Amino acid sequence: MEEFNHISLFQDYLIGDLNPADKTTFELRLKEDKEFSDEFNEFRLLEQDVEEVTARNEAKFELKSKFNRDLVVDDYNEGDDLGELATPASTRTIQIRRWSIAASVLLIAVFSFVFWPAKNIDKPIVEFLDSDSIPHLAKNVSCNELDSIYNRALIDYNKAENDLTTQLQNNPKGSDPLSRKFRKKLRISRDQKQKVLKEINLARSQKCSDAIPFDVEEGFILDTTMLEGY
Amino acid sequence: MISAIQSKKDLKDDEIIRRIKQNDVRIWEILQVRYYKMMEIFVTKNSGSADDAWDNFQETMAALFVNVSKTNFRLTCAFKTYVYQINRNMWLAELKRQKRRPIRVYDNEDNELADIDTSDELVEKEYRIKLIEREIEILGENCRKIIKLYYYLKKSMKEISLEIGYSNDANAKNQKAKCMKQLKAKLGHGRI
Repeated sequence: MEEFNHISLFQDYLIGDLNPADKTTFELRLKEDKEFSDEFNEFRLLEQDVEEVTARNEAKFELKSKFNRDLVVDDYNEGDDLGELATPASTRTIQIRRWSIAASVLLIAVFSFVFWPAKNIDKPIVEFLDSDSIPHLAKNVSCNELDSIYNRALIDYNKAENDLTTQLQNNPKGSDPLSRKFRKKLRISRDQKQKVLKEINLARSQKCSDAIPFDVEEGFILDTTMLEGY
Repeated sequence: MISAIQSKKDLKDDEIIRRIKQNDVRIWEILQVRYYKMMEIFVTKNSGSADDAWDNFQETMAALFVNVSKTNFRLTCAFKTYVYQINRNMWLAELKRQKRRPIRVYDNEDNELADIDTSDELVEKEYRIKLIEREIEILGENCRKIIKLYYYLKKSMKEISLEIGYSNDANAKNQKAKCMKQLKAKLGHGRI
């Protein structure tokens, strides 16, 4: 019981909750009672360590998304005083660089479309997107930009589906190659839309603390009866 | 993007520190590009796997972020040495936690790292931090919550009592004292 009281007492002292008389008594005891003083110092050390642990845990959580294990690293070699970028890249590094260049091109294309829509108004954003590219893309854009990309993708997919649906409606019972082609396109577009929007949703939920999931079905205008018989 | 990162390889140490303090989103990739290989070599030379090196790298970066963010932080050696030092202490502490502490530590053969501090004191501190981290993980949910609210978010006892739903702040204080006692007991040393 006394041990527990010590912790309460230490806490009260450190928070500043002791009244002046108790505070004086406490400080006097710290001076005179070595065991008590050691306990107090041990408690303060524990508090400092706990504070460090909680800060690091939060930092780990925050930084986790900022590292990518496949990111190209400099070719540091032991015994090489200069260290960084001193020797030719390994095969793996070259492969990663190639992949990164491809990803960069994709990113530039998406950014160009999102931020300068007037120049690219005819090009649907979905031409630049596929579900595999979303996680990488999400790491490099802000939450607001992700929202914009989602909205643009949704509009583009819906527009594409609208066009295809209209064309099918003009030939509702057609079994000719053209109708079959439209139906196939509709299916592909629908699958792609689901995958891409779900990936963006997932990326948002991981990246943005205030993310409210979008409704992937929202605005989904495909009449699935149009696909019957396909 | 990568070339942009590589072009930052000449960033001066004080610029790196400034960008870490600002939590600049790009600085972490730059640090990974610049230092990961060095850090991985140390871990793999000292009984660790590539996966261990990756985990240790993330732990190191978190510690680096916390340290550099402190208002009284002062860099007393080259930044590269500082990163190496944290990574080294962190990994040796992990080996100790796993009871695999080596008799001999193999440091990187790099003249730029000649002035590292190899004293055990820093490893001991990291070891203590690791133990506390694991013990906090297995405390009750309320204790974890109180610890986070008090030590990380710096909430007052009154705010904690409101957040957790205690009737008054004395109850919150009492509960926090119990949690700390529990933690101390789990760590298994001292009387507190």
